[in-house]
Amino acid sequence: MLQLMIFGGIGLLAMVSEVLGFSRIMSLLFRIGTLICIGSLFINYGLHLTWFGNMMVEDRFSQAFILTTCLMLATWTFGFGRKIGEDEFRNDYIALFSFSMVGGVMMLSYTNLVMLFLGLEILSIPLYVLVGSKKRNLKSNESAFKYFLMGAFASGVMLFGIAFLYGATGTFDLHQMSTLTITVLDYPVFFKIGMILLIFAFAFKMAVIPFHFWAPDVYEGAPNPMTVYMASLVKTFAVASAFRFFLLVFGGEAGEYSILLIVMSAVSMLVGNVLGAVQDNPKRLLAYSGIGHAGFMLISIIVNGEIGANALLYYSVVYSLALFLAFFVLDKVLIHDDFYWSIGDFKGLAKRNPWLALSMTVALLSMAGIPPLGGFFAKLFILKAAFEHQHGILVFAGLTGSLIAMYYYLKFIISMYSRNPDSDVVPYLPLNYWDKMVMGFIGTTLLILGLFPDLISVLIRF
Amino acid sequence: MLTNTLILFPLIFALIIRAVPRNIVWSVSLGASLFQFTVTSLAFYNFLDSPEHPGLKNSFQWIQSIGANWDVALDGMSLIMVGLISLLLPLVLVVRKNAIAETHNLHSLIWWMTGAMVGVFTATDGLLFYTFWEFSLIPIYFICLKWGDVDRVKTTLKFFLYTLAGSLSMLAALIYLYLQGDGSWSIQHLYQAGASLSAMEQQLIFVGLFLAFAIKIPIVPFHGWQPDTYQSAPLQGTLLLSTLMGKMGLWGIIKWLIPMTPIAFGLYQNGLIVLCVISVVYASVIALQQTEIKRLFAWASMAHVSLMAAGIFVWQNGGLEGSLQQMFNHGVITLALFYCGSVITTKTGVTQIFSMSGLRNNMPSFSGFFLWIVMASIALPLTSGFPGEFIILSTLYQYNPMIAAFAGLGTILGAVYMLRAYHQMMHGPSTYTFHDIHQNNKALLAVGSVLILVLGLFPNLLSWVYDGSIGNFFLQFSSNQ
Repeated sequence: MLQLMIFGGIGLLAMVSEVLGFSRIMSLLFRIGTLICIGSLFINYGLHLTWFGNMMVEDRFSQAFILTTCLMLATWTFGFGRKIGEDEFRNDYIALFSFSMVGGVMMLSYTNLVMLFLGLEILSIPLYVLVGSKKRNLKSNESAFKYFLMGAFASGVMLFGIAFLYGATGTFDLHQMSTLTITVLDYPVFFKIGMILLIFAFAFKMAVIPFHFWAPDVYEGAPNPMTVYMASLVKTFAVASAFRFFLLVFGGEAGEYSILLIVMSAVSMLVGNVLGAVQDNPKRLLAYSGIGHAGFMLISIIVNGEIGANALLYYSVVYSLALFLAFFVLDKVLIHDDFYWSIGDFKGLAKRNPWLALSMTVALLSMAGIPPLGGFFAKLFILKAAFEHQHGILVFAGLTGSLIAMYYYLKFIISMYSRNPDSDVVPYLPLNYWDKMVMGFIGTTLLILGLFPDLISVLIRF
Repeated sequence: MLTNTLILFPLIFALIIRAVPRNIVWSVSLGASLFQFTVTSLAFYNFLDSPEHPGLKNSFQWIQSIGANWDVALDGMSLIMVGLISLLLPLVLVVRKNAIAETHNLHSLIWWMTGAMVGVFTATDGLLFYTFWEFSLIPIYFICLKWGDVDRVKTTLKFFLYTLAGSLSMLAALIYLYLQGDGSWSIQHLYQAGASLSAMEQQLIFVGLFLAFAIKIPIVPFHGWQPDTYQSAPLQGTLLLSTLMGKMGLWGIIKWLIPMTPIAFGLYQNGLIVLCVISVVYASVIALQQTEIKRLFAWASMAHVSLMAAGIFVWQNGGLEGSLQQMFNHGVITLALFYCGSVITTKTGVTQIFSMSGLRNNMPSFSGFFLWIVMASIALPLTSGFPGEFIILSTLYQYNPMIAAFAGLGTILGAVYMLRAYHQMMHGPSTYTFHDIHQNNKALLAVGSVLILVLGLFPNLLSWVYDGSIGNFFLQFSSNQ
């Protein structure tokens, strides 16, 4: 709740900062606010707090996810904040980011479907603007438009689903809905329709097949800092809120709806990665790999419970960090906006910019799940959870998907380490100490999280 | 602490060497490899003093939430393999001293791989084993990618995907096994968990694990990556792959595959031995038709490791002893063989066997060394190739004379293709003008040749290290059932 107020307050301050003349310190305020959020979470950790007449509840689950997402946000500002800080509209961006974080916090701690919908909208609407924030770039505009149309449609679907659920159960409150699902076994068909619509809406936000079509286009067109924000934090919000829904309503595996989730998860891991294997543009490639990763995270929702929550928390942190690192490098390398970059253009990167190539390799290997980087244990925890709940098919799909993903990650790495660059696409890119520090910090964190995965699993205990 | 040092020192040194001034990289690296060798010798000494020496077994808690520990231990069997690594490491570092750009990067990767491989051979924790297993894959991948031949992109991709496919199936099997147990990744717990499973489940796990190890060794029909990769890899890469990495697969079979799934192994044993023998004959027959020197050695190497796998699958003291002996000796011989191959190709500038002749006229002393190494490769008595192969064949004979006959075919064919290649390259009229190899190369070959002779004359040097451990290993295995 405190986090919600802080982010909301910063957003409001940022909106008036130009008028009141403190716009220069706004980005500093944003950072301080993020740090205060993190600090306040440490103080309140483990307490059970309710807000808004029990519509929002702070429990271990929401606190753990808010804590990690705030840490991720801090890392994000650490890595990409400077780029935004140079923009003339930076205070507007800060306001939009703060508001989207408000939506994220609501999605992580709701116990009432109204709050879920409000959170989703507060999260999404700033994003539609942010995606199109490169106003004069055609692709950015295109992707913003696409994202807005599809996102608005998904919001509609979610609202429709919530309405059906309300019609069937007579309540928005998830705890009451949960007692009803346990006592009343035979539900009207409305309930099923509502559930399916809600799952579809969640799947859209997570970019899970078959609701993934927006992701590659939007990722490609959006400015890099926004892309990485969407691919890491927003994805975490979406998956965690879906997790929370199933956790509160079913308290574990989602019964017959599991089948739907299993199919979506398996297909995402297989098809998403196959589509990734034929990509040529690095941002699209990462988008498709993100679809595969979303399929992996979906497994944790299927398994649910404490094991699932731990696995999801770890996975989201490690995946976000790897994405930060990858996009940090991409942001350095993709200097011309209008140029269509292909993986082949990365040839010779290692020769001229060894640190960039090394960072990218670490990020890709972590995503691929090579020990001892964090990505391996993320996959291990998820697969272990899937095995424990007898979902052998998901383990098979996950491993096959990982193998296919390895193919295109390797293609990328090979391209970077190829000799004899004939084309002069990637020049020598000077790095300052700050850049090296960012890359070193994220890379080391990935390694440390891999060597000591227990650092994160202590956060959630139901 | 000794085992920890053997694993961690190479990994840390891999980072240090990047900061060492370029002109002394080579000597610093060699010095460090001598340190590694000294530590290994110390471990040997302690082991002979008392096999239960506390320095050989190190453990601490790693990931508490899933019960994985840092458990590493040296017993007689792993000591043989670690000894092989430490013995070959300086030789791998020394070869082609000046021929490679960016030495510090290459050495860093080789050291990284050394640490990971020592980890594979000493880990007694399932997750740790898997971690090291995968961890050793990255450096060899980059070695092949960065310093390899023209086709390196295609072949390294193939190599990596092949091995990763195996690794992932192993991962699935290990997780499944772990979940059947009592929440510990320790190898003893995994043994118990595996032995308590039904035959059907054991078969699934067996297939999962076997795939990983069979690809690494490799055995027919999982060998698709091997000849191409050996051919296109740089010399150091080929040496690491053929002498040490293939042994990881054999080690996995000994320590991680058969004891985990005794019932499934019992069901498949005959088939596996037959498969390995087919692999021996198949590789030998293909080697007969090779005209390219590195490919010939690659197929020959495959024939030999398949025979070792057959020896292991007999699953008796004799077979295991022979295989361990041969794993060590094959490492030394293959290193020398590939090294000779690289000398020949760099001297003549061609890789085709049939476009060379009369090298002996130009390089008399080299051809002497080469002949001795070729003899070791075809298991001539007095060379170190002989004792291991002999024990394996005699064990196979006790198991089934028919199978032993086919396995022996591999040795005969080995003599045919190796001697024919030798004859073609070394004898006949010479058209070349270059002179004999440099003193340094001679010294290197002399070290290899003396090792081959000594280990051929005194096979007991190795066997009294592992004898007790094999006995204990089987004892514990039979008590588990």
